[in-house]
Amino acid sequence: MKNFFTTKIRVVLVVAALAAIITMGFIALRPGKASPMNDAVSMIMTPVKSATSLLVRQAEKIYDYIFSYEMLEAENEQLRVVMSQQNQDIRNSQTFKEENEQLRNLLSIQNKHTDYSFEIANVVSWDSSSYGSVMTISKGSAAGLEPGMCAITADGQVLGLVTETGSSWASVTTILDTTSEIGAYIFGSGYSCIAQGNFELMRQGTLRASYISSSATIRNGDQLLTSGDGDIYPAGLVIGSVTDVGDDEINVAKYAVITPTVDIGSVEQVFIIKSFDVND
Amino acid sequence: MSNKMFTRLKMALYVLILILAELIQTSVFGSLRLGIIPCVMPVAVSCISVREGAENGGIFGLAGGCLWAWSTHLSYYGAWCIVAMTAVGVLAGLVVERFLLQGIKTALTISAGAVILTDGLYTLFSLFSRIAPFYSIFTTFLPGAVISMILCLLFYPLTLAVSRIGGSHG
Repeated sequence: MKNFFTTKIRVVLVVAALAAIITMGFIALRPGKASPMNDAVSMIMTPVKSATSLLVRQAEKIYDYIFSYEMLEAENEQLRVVMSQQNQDIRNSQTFKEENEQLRNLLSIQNKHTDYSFEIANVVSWDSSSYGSVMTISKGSAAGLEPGMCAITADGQVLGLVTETGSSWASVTTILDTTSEIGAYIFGSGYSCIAQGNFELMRQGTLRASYISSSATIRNGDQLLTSGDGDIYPAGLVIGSVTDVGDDEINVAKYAVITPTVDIGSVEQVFIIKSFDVND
Repeated sequence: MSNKMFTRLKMALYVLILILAELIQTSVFGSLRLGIIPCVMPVAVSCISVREGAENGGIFGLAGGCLWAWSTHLSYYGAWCIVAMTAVGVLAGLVVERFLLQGIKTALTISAGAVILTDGLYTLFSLFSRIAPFYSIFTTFLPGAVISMILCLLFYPLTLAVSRIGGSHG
């Protein structure tokens, strides 16, 4: 067997072991920070990946245009119905606005965080694993991004947290990832819960709100907002709306399936909240 | 063109194949949102090693592993991939040199082993740490492995063509 392993092969194996040890060392000693070799490779790969993703998305759009015309027509018809319903809603909006104001006063809902400072970035690529939901974005520590910053869409939908930064890129672990946990509450009723990523739901683009009181009354369409507990996520950001409710595995609490307001997998631009004031 | 130039051209093209594998894995399948991301890098490394033998296979395995691990966020899985890809490169080359089985069947077999060594182990880790349920073996791992094997049919002819540059194959 030793005849097989020439000096060159031995050197390669030793270098591989060293590279792996150095990688593990960086993870252990500088969590959330990219290593120099990470930065060097990403500096070359990020623009290429970005261009490839753009090409794939364009190709997907052309494919959809060619093969999904009938589907789009049906969707258009549906949207017309929704629009007419929304026109009706607008007419009722004034009443709801006043009612909402009253409810806010009653429940003492406060906007805990104000004065956001944003950084806009594009989504470059997605994690190369089927078991997580992590995106790479086009801005990094050079733009002032740091691990722990919150990523949202232009509509205020929470996307996730920055978990690692390189000089020109950063990784954002989305709220769908199995490691994600956010303090949340159901708007209106005020029930608190934990919004968690779940492997099964992640593939459907949804997540789970757990530990809801068993006596809670939850309806489909109820909105789930961040509670701001822990001061990682600002309070009052939209996580999604309830699309299913059930009792948890041991029947001591309820859970709800939460569908984000946007398809997180198709997001192309993100807004990173670099700073926000906490008004306790 | 001298032999040295041919060798350099071959090496550069192999590196491009590794970059292509990384792009297919992250940018193409990542953007398609299928819920399944195949393991393309082990397939590319296996195909190169089958054509190039143990020494060069090990070097390209190391390069592929580093590219895979360092072009995204750092993880212990990435560190394992560096070692696994190098080992796959060396072992694939040794098998081919020992048994003279330089063909697509060998590439497919070694690719399957390499996918099990990387994505398979990661699936097992996900099962034991309760990130993923048991059925994910059938709904996530196996479809991913099948797509990886199909991609082997793309990568093997590519590496075969590159290995023939200069009139020899490693």
